[in-house]
Amino acid sequence: MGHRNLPGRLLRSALVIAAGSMLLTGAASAQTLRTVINADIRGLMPGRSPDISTGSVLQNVYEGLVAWRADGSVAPMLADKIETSDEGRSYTFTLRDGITFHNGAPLTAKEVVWTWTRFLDPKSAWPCRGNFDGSNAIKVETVEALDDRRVVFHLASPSGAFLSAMARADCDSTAIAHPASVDADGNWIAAIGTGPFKLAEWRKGQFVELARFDAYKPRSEAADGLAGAKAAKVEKIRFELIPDAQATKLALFQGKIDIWPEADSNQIKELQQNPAVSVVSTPFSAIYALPFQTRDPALADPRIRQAINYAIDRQSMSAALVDGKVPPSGSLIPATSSYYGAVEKTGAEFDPAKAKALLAQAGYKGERIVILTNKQNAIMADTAIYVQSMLRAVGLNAEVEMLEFGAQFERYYAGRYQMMVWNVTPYLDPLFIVERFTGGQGAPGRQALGQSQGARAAEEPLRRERRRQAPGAL
Amino acid sequence: MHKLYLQDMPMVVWGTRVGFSAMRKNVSGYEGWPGQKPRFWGVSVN
Repeated sequence: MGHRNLPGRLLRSALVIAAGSMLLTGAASAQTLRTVINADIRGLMPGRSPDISTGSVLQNVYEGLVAWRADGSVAPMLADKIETSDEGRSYTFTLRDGITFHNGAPLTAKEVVWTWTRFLDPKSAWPCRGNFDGSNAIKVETVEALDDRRVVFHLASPSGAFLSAMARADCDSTAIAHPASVDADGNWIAAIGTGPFKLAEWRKGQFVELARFDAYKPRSEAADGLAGAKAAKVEKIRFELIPDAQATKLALFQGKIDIWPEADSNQIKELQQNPAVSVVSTPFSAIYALPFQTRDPALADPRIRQAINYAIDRQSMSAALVDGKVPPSGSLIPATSSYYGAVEKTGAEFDPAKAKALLAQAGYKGERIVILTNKQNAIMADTAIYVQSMLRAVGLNAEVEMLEFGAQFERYYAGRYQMMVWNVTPYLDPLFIVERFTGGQGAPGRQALGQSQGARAAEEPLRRERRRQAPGAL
Repeated sequence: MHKLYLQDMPMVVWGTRVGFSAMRKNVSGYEGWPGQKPRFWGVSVN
């Protein structure tokens, strides 16, 4: 048990001066940053959808009590101070002073309680609820306001992963919204948050426009991941909805958009050749995966699945699909993680002879194996084509089925597939990558590796590490 | 642990994801990061 206070006021006041001078330079430009989303946002409730488009928009608008730094550690965001008590079962958050929502209302403990009550209400069907309702190690029993600025979360049992679960970026940092975001029927009609930009207009099927929130008070710490100071330097951000990659590239070349954050991997060479454009590459805390439906008769024998693993030439895939930027790895833990060690580097060998031998041992008789993918995401589509040809090369009867992303998403969560291309959303804390595939008792989408002892074993050291960390240590 | 995983092979992982961002030269302050979703605070356009 520990009482740890978060950043002192001294440090804060020193850095407010620095933030003040930053604003002066920003004020000179009254500009719009024009960017792109390839799918429309799926709603305005924080944590409602883990897709990149929705999250990219909402992370500018909303903030949670905590946020992930780039290395996956947890930092306070709307919280000024976080204290644990009751042997790690209670977390008391003291809110930052003088924070206002986009509608001018002050942030108080009341809105935190309102938002979390909504999150935890089964009627809200909040996709992140499973992280906090006891189905996956953490159970929030109550969320109470102690006074205007303090709110306490009571957990059923201590958990070292609680703050990291709160910070999850796929849940939009479990951000706090003002109750006026919701109409009388409970629909999210607005996105009233505390972030550096506010929602100006969402024209469905066309664009989302954000405007700088002038009353935003950046934190004093340097920007780091989703944490620290967030200085809005442009007046507006306009997210044009352009589903097609060719059209996006053209828009960038013609100067109709300024930035293509999710540039298609198969356009990189052409983008690099354009003198008006620069390209940056970044490793994500995420994996390229091909989950199996292990209950499928054609894939029930683990030797078939091992054969598929050895049939894949990761080196050539990386060269062909991502400009060779991806080091081959067969581990659930991304190479960016501090948990990625020598053992995790094994198991990624390309060995077609071994693959053929395993298929023979398993008595494989040419059963059809369908690889699902989608056409919206170029790398996912191309991955399926490459994997298909590599599997055919060792004698597997593999075929690709190309779906709309939405349809593939549904099939994934329903478990209705044999094998699919699934590029997992980044989790800066790798515990959640593993947990995504193992955790929960039959919770949707979590069954992919639910039966796998191996996957559960991979999860164990990460959990142990969390237990070792003092609860609430930031 | 990883070895057990390889035995059971419930899902093939083929690499750590990498992302690309392309921008015009008038954009400054933009940085990619391991969390993928683009961050537009700290970014300016000229």
